Amino acid sequence: MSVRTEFSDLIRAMARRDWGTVDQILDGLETTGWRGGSQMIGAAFAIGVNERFAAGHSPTDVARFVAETRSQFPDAQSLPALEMEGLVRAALGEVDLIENLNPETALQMQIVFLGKLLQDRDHDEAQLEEFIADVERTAAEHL
Amino acid sequence: MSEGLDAVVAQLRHVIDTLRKAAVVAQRAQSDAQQAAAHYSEAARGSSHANLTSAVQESKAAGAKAGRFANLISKAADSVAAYSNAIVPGSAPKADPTESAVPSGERLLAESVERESSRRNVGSFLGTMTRKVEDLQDNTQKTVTAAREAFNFIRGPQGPAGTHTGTTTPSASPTLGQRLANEAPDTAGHLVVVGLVAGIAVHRSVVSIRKGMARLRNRERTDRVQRPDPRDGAS
Repeated sequence: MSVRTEFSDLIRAMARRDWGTVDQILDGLETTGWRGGSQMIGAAFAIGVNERFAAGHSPTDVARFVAETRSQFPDAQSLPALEMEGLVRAALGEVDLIENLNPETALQMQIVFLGKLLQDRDHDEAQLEEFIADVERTAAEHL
Repeated sequence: MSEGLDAVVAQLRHVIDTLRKAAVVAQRAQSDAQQAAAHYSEAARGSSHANLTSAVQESKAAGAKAGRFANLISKAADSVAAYSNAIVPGSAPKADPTESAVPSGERLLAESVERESSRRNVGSFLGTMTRKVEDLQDNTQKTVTAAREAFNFIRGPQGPAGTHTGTTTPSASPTLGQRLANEAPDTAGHLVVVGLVAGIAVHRSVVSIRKGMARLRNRERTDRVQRPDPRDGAS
C-alpha cells in the first residue's frame, strides 16, 4: 500500500496554516476513510520531534517544550500534560511510555505537536517538500 | 538601529547563513564524489570496461564541479557579509571555521550516529503507535472528529496571525522539490537540491531586503521633508 496524497496535502496545509484546505481535506477523508493517516501524522510528528531535540536532551527540555505548546495553544490544555510529555519522550526512544495511552488522545496530541513544530520551523517551500518526502518514505514502511 | 534597518540586517543574516550551509553541503558532496572516484578507480584496476571508466571520469568531474560550486557559494556569502557589515558594522555573522572546513571524520561519525539514532527512534515509535491505532483506522467518523477537534486547538477560535484559507491546491502529482528529493540520491542530485534551497531562500530574502531598503529610503525622504536639515541648504 502506498501513502495517500491527501495526508501529504493535510501536512502541507497545516504548515501553511491554510485552515480552509485542512477543513476541505478532512471533509473528503470522512468519505474516503482514514487508512494510512495515523502513520503519516505519526511519522511527521516523530521526525519533527527528533529534528527538534538534539542528542543530550533532558526530560526537563521535553517538559519545557510541552509547556510552551500548551501555552501557545490554550485550547489544547484539555489534553493531559503528563501524557503529552510521555508521547514526546516516546518519539525520542522511550516507547514504553505510551503503552496505556488512549489512541484518539494520542492522535490529537500528535496533531497539536505537529502544529507547533511546523510553526516553529517555518519551512520554506523546498524544505517543506523535503520534509514531506521524508515523512512519506517513513510512513510507507509502516503501512 | 531602526526597526526597518533591523529587519534588513536580519534578512541579510538569513541569506548569509543559508549560503554558508549550502557551501558546507557542497564541500561534503565534493568529498563524497572524490571518495567515490577513488573506489571506482580501485574497482576498475585491470579492467578497461567502458562503464567503469565512465564512472571514474564522471565521479571525478562531479567532485571538481562540487568544489567549484562550494567555492562560489562561499564567495557569495562573503560578499553579502561585507555588504551587511558596510550597512551596520559587525552585523554579519562570523563564519564558523568548523563549518567551513571539510567535516572531520569524528564529526561525520557523530552526525551519522545521531541520524541513525533518530531513525531508530522514529521507527520504534511508529511501530508501537501503528499497533495502538489499528482500530482507529476502521472507525473513520470517530477518527476524523478527533482530528478535527485537534486542528481546532491549533487554529484557535479565529485562527492564529497570518491565517489564510483555501489557497493550497491539493497536489495531484509530486512537486519538483519532492521528485528531486525522491529521485536524486546521487551527489549531483543533492547539489541540485542544495542549489534550489539556497536559491529560493536567497531570492525570497533579496526581495524582502529590497522592500526593506525602499521603505527605509522613503522614511528618510519623508523625515527630511518634515524636518529639513539646515545643512541641506533649505531656506
